[in-house]
Amino acid sequence: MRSFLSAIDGHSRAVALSVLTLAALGGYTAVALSAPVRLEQEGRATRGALQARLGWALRDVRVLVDGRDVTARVRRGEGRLRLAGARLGDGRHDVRISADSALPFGGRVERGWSFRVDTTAPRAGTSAATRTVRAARISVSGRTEPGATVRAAGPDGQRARAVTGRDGRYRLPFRVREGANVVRLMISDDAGNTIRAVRRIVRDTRAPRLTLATLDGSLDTSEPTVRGRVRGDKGAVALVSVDGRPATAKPVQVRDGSLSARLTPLHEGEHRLVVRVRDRAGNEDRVARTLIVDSTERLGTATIGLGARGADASELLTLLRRHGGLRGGGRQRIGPAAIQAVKRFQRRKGLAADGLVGPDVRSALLGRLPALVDIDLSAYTLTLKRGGTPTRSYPIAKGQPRYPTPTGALRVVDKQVDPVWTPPDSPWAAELDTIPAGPGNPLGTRWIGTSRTAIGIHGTYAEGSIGTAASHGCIRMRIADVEELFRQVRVGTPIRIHA
Amino acid sequence: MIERDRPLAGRHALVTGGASGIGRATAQRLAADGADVVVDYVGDAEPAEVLVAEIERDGGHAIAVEADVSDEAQVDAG
Repeated sequence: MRSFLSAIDGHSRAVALSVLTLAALGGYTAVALSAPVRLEQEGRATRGALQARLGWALRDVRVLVDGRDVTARVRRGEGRLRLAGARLGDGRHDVRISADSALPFGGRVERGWSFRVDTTAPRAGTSAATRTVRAARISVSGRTEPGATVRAAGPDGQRARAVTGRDGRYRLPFRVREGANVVRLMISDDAGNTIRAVRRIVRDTRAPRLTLATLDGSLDTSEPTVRGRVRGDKGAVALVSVDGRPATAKPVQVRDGSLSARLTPLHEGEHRLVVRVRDRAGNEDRVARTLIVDSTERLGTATIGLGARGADASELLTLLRRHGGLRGGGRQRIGPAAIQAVKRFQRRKGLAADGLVGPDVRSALLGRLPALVDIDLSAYTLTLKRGGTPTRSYPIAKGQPRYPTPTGALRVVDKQVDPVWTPPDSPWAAELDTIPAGPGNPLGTRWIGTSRTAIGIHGTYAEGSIGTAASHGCIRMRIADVEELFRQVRVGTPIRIHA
Repeated sequence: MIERDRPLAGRHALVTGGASGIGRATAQRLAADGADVVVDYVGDAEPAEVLVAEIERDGGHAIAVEADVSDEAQVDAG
């Protein structure tokens, strides 16, 4: 196959000598030349023959090529001198011929000239790949040897011809039809070496047609996938933008007429989606839609922006009315007034005023609300809520079946850093002594006492007990968790314990 | 996905008489299935080059080659 392929881009190698200088011959002495002197082609190397016409009455002829005496290989006859097997490579060569004239007053004559051997086909320039264009008038251009003649035949019998200048460049104008066009080139250099090449040009003025799959409703994901069909063009790419910015890492290739583009995460709310499909010629189709992203019903997990709706949006509106200076603004949907309120709130808090409710705005809004410690014994979970909204949840250990944690409404009554453990007034602790603060202390590093005697929330060094019923009624937490909770509650913070 | 849609991806196909008729349709189908197609023709290069252009426009790969497969010397040429 390889040899087969090399035949196609094979160049027709003409081999020629051009005589650059020809000394003027004086008197009756004769070393005349047949010009142009041609070398015969034989295989790839230049194993040609050099010919010169000889005058008459010459003897002791000597021939030097590039300073090498080749007289022994020279044959004479019919007034001609012929050198076979000169094996001349591409480039400049010198030949010198000297002879004695047999005529009176002739003496010895010597003539020399140089010539160039060029067996290399010119390059065709530019790649042979198919070009796709929209315009009717195009030009076929490329770069080859200086002084080469480029002949081209295009569609509908169009012909063009150009001779390259010093830079070797050529540019030939053609009109192309809708569909596939072929321009055939024949490039010949001044030595007569010729190469053929083909330029394929597809003219395409028809835009691909894009239809998007159902996307007009709300999306219940924050990473929506845009799907669609593209007709009329293969190899088109889709450029997807949301709110004027690219929504995919790179243009999406359309495969077998179907488009599937996964978008970068979008915040909750309304977005302007624009999908453009572009074919290779640059023809475009464009579809724009309004997207509503609604990823969750619980405030606190998704970033919320203009157009968001649902339970979390309503909750945010309530918070903004209470603490963000919002007046009115509706109950269901985050509108422009709410976004203005968010921006004012952000500026007040020294946050970037982008109008989006993310974790920073959320915690700033919620931080102003009264805390509530909610303990779900069956789920082994303690949840800190602010204004009814969960902000943090922690795993806990609860009381053993013999010493169950009491349920009901309690309050924080006491907070201690690095508490000392004192045996409670209970039968199980009757024999035990006081334990000072530090590793091994059963209360860890923090104690949050409740309004129920001997029942508190505290740390534990026995982290393995978290998630089990292990204590004598207290709520145990990991050391880091209880230290975080400790900073969030005050004496008086309500605690609700339920099964 | 690519493998399923283009079962011949990475393979080469030589279609003799590929410039017209059944050969042309065969070459287009092979290219659509992902094969790199050599469109073999005898005589006029134009239809073969037009076919190559159409295949490349649709994202395929093809070249046109003139060789008469009934002539052993042309097949071995080069």
